Amino acid sequence: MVSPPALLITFMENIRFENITKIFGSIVANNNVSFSIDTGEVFCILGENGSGKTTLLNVLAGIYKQDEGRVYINGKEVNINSPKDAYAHKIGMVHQHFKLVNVFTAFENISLGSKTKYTVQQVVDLCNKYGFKLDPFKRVYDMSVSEKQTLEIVKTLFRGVDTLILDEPTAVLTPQEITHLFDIIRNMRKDGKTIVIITHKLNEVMEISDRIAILRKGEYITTVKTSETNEKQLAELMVGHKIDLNIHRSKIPTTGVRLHIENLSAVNRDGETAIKDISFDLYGSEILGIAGISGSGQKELLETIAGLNRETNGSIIFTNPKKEQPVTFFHKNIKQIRELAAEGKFHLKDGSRCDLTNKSNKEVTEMVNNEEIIFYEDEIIDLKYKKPIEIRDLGIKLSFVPEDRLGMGLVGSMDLIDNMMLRSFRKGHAGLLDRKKPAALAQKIVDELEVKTPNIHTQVKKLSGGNIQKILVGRELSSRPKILMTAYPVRGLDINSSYLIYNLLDEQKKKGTSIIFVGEDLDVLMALCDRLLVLSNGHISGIVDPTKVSKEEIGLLMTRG
Amino acid sequence: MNFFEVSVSFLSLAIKFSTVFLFGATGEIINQKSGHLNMGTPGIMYFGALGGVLGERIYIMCTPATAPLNPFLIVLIPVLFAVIFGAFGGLIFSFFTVTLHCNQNVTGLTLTTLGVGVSCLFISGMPMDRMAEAGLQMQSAFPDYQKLGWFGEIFLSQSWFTYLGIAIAIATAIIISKTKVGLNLRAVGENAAAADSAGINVNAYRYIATIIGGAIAGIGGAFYELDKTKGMFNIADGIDAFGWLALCIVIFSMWKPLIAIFASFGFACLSILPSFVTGNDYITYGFKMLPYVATLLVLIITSVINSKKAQAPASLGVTYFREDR
Amino acid sequence: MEKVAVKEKRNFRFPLYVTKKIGLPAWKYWLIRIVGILGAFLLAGIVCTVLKPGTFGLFFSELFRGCFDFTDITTIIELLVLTSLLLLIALALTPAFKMKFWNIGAEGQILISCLVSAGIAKFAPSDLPNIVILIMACGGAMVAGIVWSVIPAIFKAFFNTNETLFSLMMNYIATVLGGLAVSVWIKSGSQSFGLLKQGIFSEIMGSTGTLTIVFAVLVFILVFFYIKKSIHGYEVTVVGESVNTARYVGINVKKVIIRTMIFTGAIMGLIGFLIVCAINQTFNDSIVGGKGFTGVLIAWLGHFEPGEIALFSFLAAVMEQGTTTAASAISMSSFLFSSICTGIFFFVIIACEFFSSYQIKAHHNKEFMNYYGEQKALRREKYSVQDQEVKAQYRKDFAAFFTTVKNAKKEKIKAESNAFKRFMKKVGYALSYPFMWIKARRTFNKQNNRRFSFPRLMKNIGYGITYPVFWIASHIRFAKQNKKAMKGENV
Repeated sequence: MVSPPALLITFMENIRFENITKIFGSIVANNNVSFSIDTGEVFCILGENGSGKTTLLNVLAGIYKQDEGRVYINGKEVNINSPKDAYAHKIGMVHQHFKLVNVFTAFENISLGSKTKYTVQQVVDLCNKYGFKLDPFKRVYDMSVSEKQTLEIVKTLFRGVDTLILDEPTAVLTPQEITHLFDIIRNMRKDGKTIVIITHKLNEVMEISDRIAILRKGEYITTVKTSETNEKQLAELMVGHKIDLNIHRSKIPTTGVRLHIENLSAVNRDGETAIKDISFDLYGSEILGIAGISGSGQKELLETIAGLNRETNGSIIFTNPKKEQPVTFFHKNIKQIRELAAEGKFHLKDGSRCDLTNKSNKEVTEMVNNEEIIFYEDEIIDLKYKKPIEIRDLGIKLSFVPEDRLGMGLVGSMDLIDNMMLRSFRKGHAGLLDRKKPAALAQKIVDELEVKTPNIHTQVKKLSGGNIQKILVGRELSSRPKILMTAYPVRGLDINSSYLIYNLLDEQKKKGTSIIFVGEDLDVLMALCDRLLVLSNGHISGIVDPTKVSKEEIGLLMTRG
Repeated sequence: MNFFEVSVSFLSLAIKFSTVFLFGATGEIINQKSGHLNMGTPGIMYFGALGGVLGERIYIMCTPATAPLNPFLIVLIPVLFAVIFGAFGGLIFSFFTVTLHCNQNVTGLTLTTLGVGVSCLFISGMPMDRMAEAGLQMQSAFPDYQKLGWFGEIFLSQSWFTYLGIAIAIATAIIISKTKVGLNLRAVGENAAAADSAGINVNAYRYIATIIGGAIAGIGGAFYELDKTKGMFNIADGIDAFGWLALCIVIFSMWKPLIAIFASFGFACLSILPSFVTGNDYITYGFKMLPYVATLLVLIITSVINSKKAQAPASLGVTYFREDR
Repeated sequence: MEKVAVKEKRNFRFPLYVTKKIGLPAWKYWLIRIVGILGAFLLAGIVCTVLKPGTFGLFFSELFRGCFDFTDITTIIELLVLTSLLLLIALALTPAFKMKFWNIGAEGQILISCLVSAGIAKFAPSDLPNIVILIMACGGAMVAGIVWSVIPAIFKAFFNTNETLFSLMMNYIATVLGGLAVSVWIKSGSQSFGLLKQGIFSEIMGSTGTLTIVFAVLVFILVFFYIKKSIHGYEVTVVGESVNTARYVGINVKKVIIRTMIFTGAIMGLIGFLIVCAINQTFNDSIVGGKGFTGVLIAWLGHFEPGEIALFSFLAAVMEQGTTTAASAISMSSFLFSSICTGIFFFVIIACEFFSSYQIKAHHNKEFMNYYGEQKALRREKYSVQDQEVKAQYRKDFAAFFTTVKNAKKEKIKAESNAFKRFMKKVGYALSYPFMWIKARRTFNKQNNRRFSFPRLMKNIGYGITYPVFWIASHIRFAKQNKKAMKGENV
């Protein structure tokens, strides 16, 4: 590999974009973007989700072809039509969604598509040179997320690239792993490589980069030198106006235990134990955050509580805050009401004992409809053997946004009305669907959350990511849940929408909802949540007060166990 | 005939039969490794049959009426034509699935319909003189096999096609598992996006794999048409049935050509058993069912076990489009 | 490490590339399909001519006669029966396909039903009334169809076994069972199953299968409501889109898969019953004749929408019946010829699918586009063809004018008090709309002093016709210009 000593590298222009425009149908991803990147620097491309960062660099990496504009490398115009061409120009990209073959070993993935035959020794040497930790013979399906990312970087370096593009590399790493990655990046810079990092994390940008280009909604704004700017200014450039990056966390007292989990263990769909011996309490009016590296069991924990996991051990006890609340037919039928009355759970509105033994069904129905039967105490319900639909009806809602955003909770090919119907489609007459109430709900959500859509008959998959997520969260919030479990609700959203959702959650907390919040961004978790539960390898490694611990301590908890 | 003699001729015939399956299965394995669930293989085998017949016809037409037929050319020329026709069939499939992004199942089924129709039509219209003689000429590679008794009867009495088939299967196994090209092909079939970003030309690999797979399958069809029926052509032959069984063999052998060799033999045994066993209809038809039932069992067992190593290529049946968002 | 030389010379790139089309208006989409269908028929005719020279016209006349012979009602009835059969098959498959359960075992499912109904019809005690035998045969066929369909479903639901290959294998097992049944049931001395003597439909309008049409219409309505309006249909759509979402809203995915295949199996049973007892009135192991696979193709091409499926069933039936008739007229084997034509038909339609979802674009050279824009403007001046903006303004003004004319007429209608007279006036308004438009145009043009000019009309036509030549010429001129520029000469 040819690498001239650092002294001899003049800061000459390495890559230049000129008037790059890329359009997908009606979406303008990049509009006339022009700037340049110098050799041997760590260059950050900063922008919110949807600003066109990944698209632009995909053009450079040969995945997309620009509709207009040119790319210059070392002063010469180039035609990059495929990843192969990019490699010919010594440019390689590590994508956010790994492009690895699961059944191959690390070594096989590295050897893929190359013209020359590599030896294992070469792999080991490279790893030692920059400080990578990689086992060449491990199969990808056995690897952790950060190991996969390491493999991706090593794979790209092996092509002999001088320019390495990293797309949101820190999203999946713990604080310790991030530090390690930055050390590696500094090593590569010393070696004369150009590193381009696509990110939206301001603090990391300030830490590692030399210069920063900001994109906003497909437009290029400006390039600044890291030494001459700060986080506040960068945020303002990213969003276009002054923005308060403080997440509002209301301080209100909690209202008793709502969910009591003891020794919970569960198995995921592949048959492997996903969570082991989990015990914690969830209080009313609090936001409990769950931190952990991807695959630590967050998803399985939420699914288990929501009743989607059959094989579980341990107990999940839900305290339904029904004290002094009337009983409804919403999830109880007459038989169950009579049973509970016989057990003495109710009293009448005037305070007297509730005795239904001599009353006919019709009379009981009338009493329920007039809200005359009141609970003495909160209901204690064991959730473990309940069906998912019953758990939902009790007011425990799950809003899980997976990577492809549409995978769970929304059906992309259906319109907004049919998606609202996901909660209530069984309530039709004679086997036929009733679309009136869902239509009203859809309209309400569109109005209240300012969802940008042509109308409520549009297919959901045609909307932008932010709007889709607003619908998803809005639908769950509209039912006034007792417990809201939300995972990655702001995944892929721009800053304004993200903060809208944080505020919504905070509002819900004030209304008495318990919220479990699973997120990737530690900063957000620490700012928004009242308590933080750290999962590691399916265990709880700690439950902490985010105001009293540091990010590094949490990082250590994330990898312990 | 005593039991020994019967078994010897049974085994010999089984090996001959297995050749047809082996060609089809090997061709389909190459297809599927690249991610193409090619249900047009039965039709492609029919195309190959047409090619083989055409080649034989042309060779016969070029030979004077009294001259003997060269045993070497009687194999070579039909094979060449079968390869061309089979490759063409594979080309059609690739064009529709890779370039026109059509659904693979639909394209495959249509191709089979078309292949059966076109090939049967032209085969039945072929003049038949000297074809029987050609068929006989093609039978054995080593004319003196009787000298080696039962060993010779079983293993050495086969046509060149059989040895060619086994050689191709072994070569395919080696290429796929040991070479760079094989690694790239496997990557294309597992995760086309990963292969693309590694600089592999996904479309080229899919095209070439399907074309080569089609060519190989075509040879199988040609062999059946020319050899088995000793030169008599009959529309109700059902080469396409062999094609579907070849698909079964691919699953049964878990996409490994070496296992396919033995699986083909097993399926061939099951297929010819009815004509060797006398019994009532139930037994005859029961045996006819066995290959399909066996495949079903394999399907069920592999999905129950859900082992990571014996799975189909992950991108099987999925078309790749780089700009998919 | 890699040492790859940068290939400087490689500035060639394939001029065309493929991108996804966004939002095709419905009329364009249907236009592509209609062109495709006509093209398919044309291509079939060409193939016919190639095989037997001089038969181009004969092919089409025979095609028509085989399907639409109005002198002999039987042909039309048979066409409708064939359509109904294909329609039933495709409809039966639709709910499963909507669930992304790729069941291609239609052949086997139908064949098994045929087998059972043939057995019941043949061996039922002959003293039972015909209608009872028919009902028993139908019931038995449905049970058989359900059993055959539900087996792959069970394995898919519980073990995620690949349903495509599973159902495919079931097809062949069914064929073997069919052959076994035939050989067991044949009376000694005869070669085939023979015609059924009982448990058959009687002839209506020249065909015994006429009631198939009625059943097809009923099933069409049933499937339409099932998929679009019922709770089951909703669940099917959700499961097809995302199994995770379905689970989350409490849909029992296993139950839905199995239930949908029971639905499919029941209809397959009906189809088998109709084939044996109504249409063919006999049985052998190739009685389904590939229609199962054709049904799969039709369902897929119809995008699993009952309306489109009906259309394609009709077209496929026309293709099959027409080519069979044509084949005998040109003395070719009917099975083979219609296979070829059907294959061509489907390939063309598939290719059309491509054109409605994707478009082929050419790389634009920015300089060329500038040059081209200038040349276009010059050309327009030369032809004194109106500027686009002027034209647009004219159209806007005329639209406003025409609206006032229309409103005036509408006021007059509204002023009429008698309801019947008002209605007649509305009818008159609708019928005279084109004439009203023409008159308005003439008045408007006279007002704006725009007289009809024949030379101007010819110029406009000429401009349009010679446009392609102009397009090619500007490409050539531009390339020549570039070459000269690169050589350093004066442009």
